Amino acid sequence: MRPKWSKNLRARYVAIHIHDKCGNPFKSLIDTYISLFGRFGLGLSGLREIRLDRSGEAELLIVRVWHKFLTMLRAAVALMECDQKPVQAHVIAVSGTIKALQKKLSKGHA
Amino acid sequence: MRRRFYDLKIGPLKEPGEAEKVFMLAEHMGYRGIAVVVERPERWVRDAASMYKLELYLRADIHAERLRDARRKAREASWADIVGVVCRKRNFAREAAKIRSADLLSFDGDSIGLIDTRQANVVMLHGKVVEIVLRGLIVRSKPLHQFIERLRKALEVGGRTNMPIAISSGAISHRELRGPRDLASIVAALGHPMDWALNMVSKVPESVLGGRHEA
Repeated sequence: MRPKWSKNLRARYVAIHIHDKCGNPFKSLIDTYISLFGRFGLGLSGLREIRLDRSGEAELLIVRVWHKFLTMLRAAVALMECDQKPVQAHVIAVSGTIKALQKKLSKGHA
Repeated sequence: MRRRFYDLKIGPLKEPGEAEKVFMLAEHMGYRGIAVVVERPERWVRDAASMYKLELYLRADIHAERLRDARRKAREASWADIVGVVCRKRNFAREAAKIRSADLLSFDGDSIGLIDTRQANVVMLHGKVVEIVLRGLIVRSKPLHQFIERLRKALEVGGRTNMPIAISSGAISHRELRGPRDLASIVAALGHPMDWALNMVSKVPESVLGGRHEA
């Protein structure tokens, strides 16, 4: 049974385009998020890795975050660091379900 | 209506290859237009941008210590679409708002701390726009907390006085460019409304380019 507070949480699935080489982009994102908003903020955000696609020239990272923390995630993406160096990354699509996100991505990259 | 996003400070870009990468990425990130800092009207910048669906504006940055020098340099930069005055000292920043041919006052790094209520009053009196360049935050030229503290204070003044603020990436290479909504999110993450933050990368820059400064 889900706790009562979790009913107010809606998920947002976010596709992040990472242009630079980065060993573990999700770990880098987590580290940046912690440096900006702390471990407590990270815990509340519900940030979770869904998929990492390295097939193309740039990496595509799909993560889930609670909708209230989307702004914070975007700020962390803008200021993302990998091995103490700034990484170029940007959010290309946001959606409420993975299915809709994939639809958006396939439209955008067609 | 969909927002149109602008980045008013990119460059100076050193070579055509780098410029093309920046233009391609800016188009990909959803910018409608960008302003590139150049020292003189360069033909190759316009040529490089012609292949992309992007509005290109040439920008001249005025670096000066005295008002008289800044006025002279601003007059000489009449070829530019946008004239920005880079403010490094408090007294100069106050006086720079009086330069008629200047469109905006640019603050980056340490100088963001110069934005206070008095500065806001001077800026609004002369119908100028304040530009905050986030390059220092993106490349971490200073410890993060110092930059964020200055940014928070400047934005608080802006929110209180209704001063028009534009934010730009100040990227000098394609690696430093960031998406418009991501830049706005940095402002929104400091506790300001997202709509106001998005105006900083859309409506305020648009008003500068349109020649009319709206609050």
